[in-house]
Amino acid sequence: MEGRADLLHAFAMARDAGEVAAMTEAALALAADHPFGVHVGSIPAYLHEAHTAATGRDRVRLAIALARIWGYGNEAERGAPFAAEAVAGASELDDPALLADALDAQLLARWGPDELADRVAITARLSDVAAYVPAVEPRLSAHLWRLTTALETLDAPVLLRQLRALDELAAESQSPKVRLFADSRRAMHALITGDLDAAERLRASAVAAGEQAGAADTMAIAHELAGWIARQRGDQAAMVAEAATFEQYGTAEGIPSIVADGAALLLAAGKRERARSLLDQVAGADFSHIPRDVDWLLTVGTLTEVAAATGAHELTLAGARQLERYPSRAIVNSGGVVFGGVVDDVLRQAASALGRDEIARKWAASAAAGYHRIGARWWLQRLALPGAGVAFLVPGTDGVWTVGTAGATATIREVKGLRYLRLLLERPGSQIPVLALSAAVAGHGEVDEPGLEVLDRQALAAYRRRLAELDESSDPAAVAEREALLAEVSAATGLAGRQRSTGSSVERARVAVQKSVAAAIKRIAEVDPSLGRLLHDTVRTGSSCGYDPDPARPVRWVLSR
Amino acid sequence: MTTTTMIDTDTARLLAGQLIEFLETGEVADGLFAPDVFCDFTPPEWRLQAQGLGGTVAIRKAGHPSKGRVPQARLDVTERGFVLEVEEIWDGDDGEWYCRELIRADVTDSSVSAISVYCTGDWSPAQRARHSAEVTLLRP
Repeated sequence: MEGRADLLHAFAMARDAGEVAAMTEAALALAADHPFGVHVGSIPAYLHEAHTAATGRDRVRLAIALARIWGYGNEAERGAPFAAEAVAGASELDDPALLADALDAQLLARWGPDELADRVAITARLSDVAAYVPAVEPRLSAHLWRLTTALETLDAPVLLRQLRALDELAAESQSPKVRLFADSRRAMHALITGDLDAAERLRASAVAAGEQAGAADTMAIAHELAGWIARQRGDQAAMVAEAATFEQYGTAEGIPSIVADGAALLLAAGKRERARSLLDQVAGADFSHIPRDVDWLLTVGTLTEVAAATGAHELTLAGARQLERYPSRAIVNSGGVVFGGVVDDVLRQAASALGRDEIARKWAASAAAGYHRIGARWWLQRLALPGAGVAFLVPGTDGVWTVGTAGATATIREVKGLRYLRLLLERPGSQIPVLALSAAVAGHGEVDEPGLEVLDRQALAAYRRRLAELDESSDPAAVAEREALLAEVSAATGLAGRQRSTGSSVERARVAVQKSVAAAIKRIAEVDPSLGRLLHDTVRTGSSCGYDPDPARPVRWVLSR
Repeated sequence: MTTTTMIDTDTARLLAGQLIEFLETGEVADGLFAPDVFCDFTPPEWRLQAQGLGGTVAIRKAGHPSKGRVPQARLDVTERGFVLEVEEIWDGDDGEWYCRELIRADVTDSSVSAISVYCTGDWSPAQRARHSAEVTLLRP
């Protein structure tokens, strides 16, 4: 493919020579392979100039390109008139392949949350047209749109038929581009059904095919799938790494849906503060500035989940109010690259966070119905968690802790094991040496303390007051007391000496921490048996301790007020 | 806007312990640093910065490549993280070297997200001996 500079030069030469056909080809080449979601820059200007000069089939091709480039640039409303013109022009020319292309462009221009009925109708027409076109591209387009609208409407039979059709088209055409779409959508479906090994395998083959085809969206597809694989595996390190990529790219390109994906990954990885920070960056006061385009449902749905989990009540309420208009709808990333749950599930989380338990139960029931329709096993398991997957282990004042699940918390008296548990839950997937853990929870009588002293300010203040009184005296008893107090203050305020760990201290710590954690889990189980079971199954103690989240029972821990 | 909360003493103690382990061994415990940790290192008459775990570890290893000991440390928990004061000793060809460092750490999501380190510079065995001969400290 020629470089951009060459194409611009070719366009200028054609313009100077008055060669409209050459202008058309240069402008169309400039627009080819523009990545989805990225700002379109000056490409529409060249397309538009050629479109104004062109007639007949070329004019329709340019109108299609204009509709598509605005759709890819997330400014679909600008593309709508060109899409309508293209469909009318292609119909008049009686060119099925061109009409299929025009319908595909029209679908891009009708991709907002309120245009689903239009999309379904246009997709049906596209399928009819593409059925009689032997070329691969129109058939690929028709299958992808039918798959996307089937996913949006949770229509499992059509979804499965289109996955099969894409497989067949990939095999028949031997096209790496078709293989990219076929395998990436198969990976998406594997994630829906909870087959993570298949999702990994299909993601890898999709990426390989995309690289072979030189497809511009390959990396975006790779990261979207990797993010969801990490989430469903509970792989915290991978989630944090993917989140960083999403944040960097989404911020640099100004794409709210990608930043929102980053926030959701951080939240799933337990990084609530950073997730909240991203939410604040992109949500505005009430989501009203989020463009109502292809990404609107994804962006607002994802951010509302983050708002609900991070205590952003006003945003939770604002998101819920807007999402209530789209019940029983799937949250889909662009052309069905990933499935992000159903709107009802987000509304359940929002209602739960807002303390509206009865409404939350209603949304949970309708979300479950949606997940059953498409066999979304991982999502059903998440839904089935007690308290909507949010659990509390929060220290309070006067040695009383709040434990339990959302809407069903209880208070229990502090025991040391709760503090160990909390440190472990803060670091899912990490190994913490037992001596480090026991040292962090101060005052453990049986194990060596490393000597990290937090100053007892009250005692020191009393010592200093007494020293000031003694400073004035030359009495031998006062001098002796002063020297003794100085030694105490010096020891307390100087650098505290650190003892070295030994094998016996590790063993003592292991036994002590194990007993303490077991006692704490027993106490939690007394007020919330399911949470107790979960902790029993996922927390390990030994010479190293850790919390390994169960991907089948994901929990979002709230560990501080 | 970054959300900050008062961190608790248990978390600060755990992170401080892991930070000392890092100073002693060069090994970074899981979750000690945020992936995008910011490091601001001020040795005598110089200043270095790094963004990210790799750069932060590289600054440390460039200054102190060998293992050492932190015989004394003091921790104070702050609203946004903690302050750690340490003495470090490590072996050189000519004997034990020494330095003191004051480390201020910001904590976000239970990991150190920013760290400012102020270092006295490295005292050679000869410098330590000269100091010991010329100065009597009031406190250890």
